[in-house]
This record gives sequence, structure tokens and C-alpha cells, in this order.
Amino acid sequence: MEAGAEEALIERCRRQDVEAFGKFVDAYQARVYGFVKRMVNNADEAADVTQEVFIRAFQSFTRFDGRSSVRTWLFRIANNLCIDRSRRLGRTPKSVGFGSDFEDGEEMEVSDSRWQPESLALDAELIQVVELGIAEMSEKLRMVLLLHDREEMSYEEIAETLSVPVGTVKSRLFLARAHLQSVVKRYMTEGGNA
Amino acid sequence: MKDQNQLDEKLNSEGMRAISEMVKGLPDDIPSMSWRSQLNERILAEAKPKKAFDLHRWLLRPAIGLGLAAALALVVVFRPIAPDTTGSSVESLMIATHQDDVNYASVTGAGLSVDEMTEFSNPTPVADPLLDLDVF
Repeated sequence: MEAGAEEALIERCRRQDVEAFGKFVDAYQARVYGFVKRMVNNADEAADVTQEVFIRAFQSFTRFDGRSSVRTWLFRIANNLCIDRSRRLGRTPKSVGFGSDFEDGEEMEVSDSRWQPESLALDAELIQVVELGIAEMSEKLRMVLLLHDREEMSYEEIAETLSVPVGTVKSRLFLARAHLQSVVKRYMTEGGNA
Repeated sequence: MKDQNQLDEKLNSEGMRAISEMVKGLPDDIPSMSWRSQLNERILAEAKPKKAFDLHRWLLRPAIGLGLAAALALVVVFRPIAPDTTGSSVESLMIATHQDDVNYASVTGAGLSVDEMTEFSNPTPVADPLLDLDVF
């Protein structure tokens, strides 16, 4: 969407224009749903949470001041709702997170001869492996990975969305990618890509 | 700063960029049509009370406020001033006497005082009615 057109759309959404908000949903529903689904790991719950994201956005659009981009604002709502849901369910971060074996550097080594990124094609099986690798990360790593590598948000935008320093965003992204790297390598070692 | 630079270098390495591309290339998920229609209904439901609220806010509330202000002004401007009957001045005593008379009159009827009312309610019996006629 062009910047001018998006600005006009946002202005109409601020005035609670239902038709304009419908177009706004059209533009962002797949991205928000994809993010939420990977965060909650459940399609039905993701559908509910995504609806809640857009309802909250509609309710609070009058207070959107434009200091951040509308995308950053929307993903902040999505992120907060995912965190709320996680807290409500009392879920603790899963095994992959800070202090895991990636911090010693051994797993992050990319000089392994089997590791040939250019030859990696995203077939259905590899997609499943990557999705599982994302699902088993801690929420903090997953959020940063998805916002940066899926939503192409800058480090600064992510830092603003998550209220953490830029350095933290980078280190989390590094840990998240290193985890995925090890998952893919393991898959290749076990002959999945042979 | 050095650590940050090292981190930036690592994040831009070939292996890390490959992972990034892989994540970017994951297929998109699109919510169902029923999901979308359900969302539309919820948005419409959110929008309707808002309009009703605006009408209430912009039309009804000022009208209620003006009405209350007018009623208050009427009470203040046309407030009845009760005469002072508690003092011991001649005026106060006269007013008090007048009010007593008015109260008596409302109970006993016009033209009768308390004493008269007592007298006529208990007339002295006449011993001989004929004797009484002799008066005429």
C-alpha cells in the first residue's frame, strides 16, 4: 500500500470508519494471523486471538497518535495479547531459550561441511522442520525472529514494540537463528535432505 | 561496542542470512472466510454503540444540563422569603399573632375565635324553653 493511501486509510480508521477498517484488516490479517499462530501454536486459538487483536485495534484507533508506524502499533497489540494469553495459561518458556547450549558457541558454528545454505530448498518436510524449530523456542526468541525475519521489522521497531534495548533484540535474534540452524543441521544429518 | 559489532557480523553471516530467508519463505496462513465474517460482525457491533453514545453525548446531555440549570435558576430567583417570627420585636409579635389567627380560622371557620368556638361547642343549657321565649 502506498504511503499516502495508507495515511488516508489510517485517518478514516481513526474516525471509526467501518469500511476503511475492513480494508485495514484485509491488508494485515494474514500477517497478524501468521504471527499469532506461530506464537500460540494452535490454529483455533490463533483465530480467536487475531480477532481480538483487530477488535482492540478498532477500539483504540482513535488513540493511535502516529508516533510509530501502524504496523509496529498493530504488532505490539498482537504481541501483548499473546503474552497475556500465555500468562493466563501459566505457560513457562520451553526448553530453548537463554542459557541454552547455543550460548557456548559450539552449536552456532556454521563451518560444518554439511551446512550448505544455498542448497537448501524449502520443501514440505523442511518447512515442517523449521516450523517445529520455531515452535520449540522460548516466546522471547520466537517474537524477535518472527518480527524481524517474517515481518521485516527493523531492530529499532522491534525494540520499541517489545520495550527492550536494541542490543537485546540482536542477541535474541542471534540465539533464535542459531537454534533454527542447529535444528536444520540435525535434520540434514539424519538424512532428511539426502 | 565491539561485542555489538561482532554480533552484527554474525547476524549478517551467510548461514544466518540463509536461516532468515528460510523463515521469510515459510508459507503464509490466511484466516478462513467464516473467521472474517465473524470479525466483521464484531466490528459492526463495536461501531453501533459508539454512534448511539455520540448521539447521547452531543444531544441529550446538553439538553439535560440546560434543563437542570434552568430549574436551579428558577428556585434561586423565586425563592419564597419566610417572615421572621422568632424575634421579640413588635413586628414579629404581630406577624406571629396574625399567623395564629389564620391557623385558628382554618380550623374553626371564619369569624370565630378560639374562645367563641369553645363557647358555642358547649352552650349553656336553658332550663325552661318557654322562659327563654319570654325574652322576646
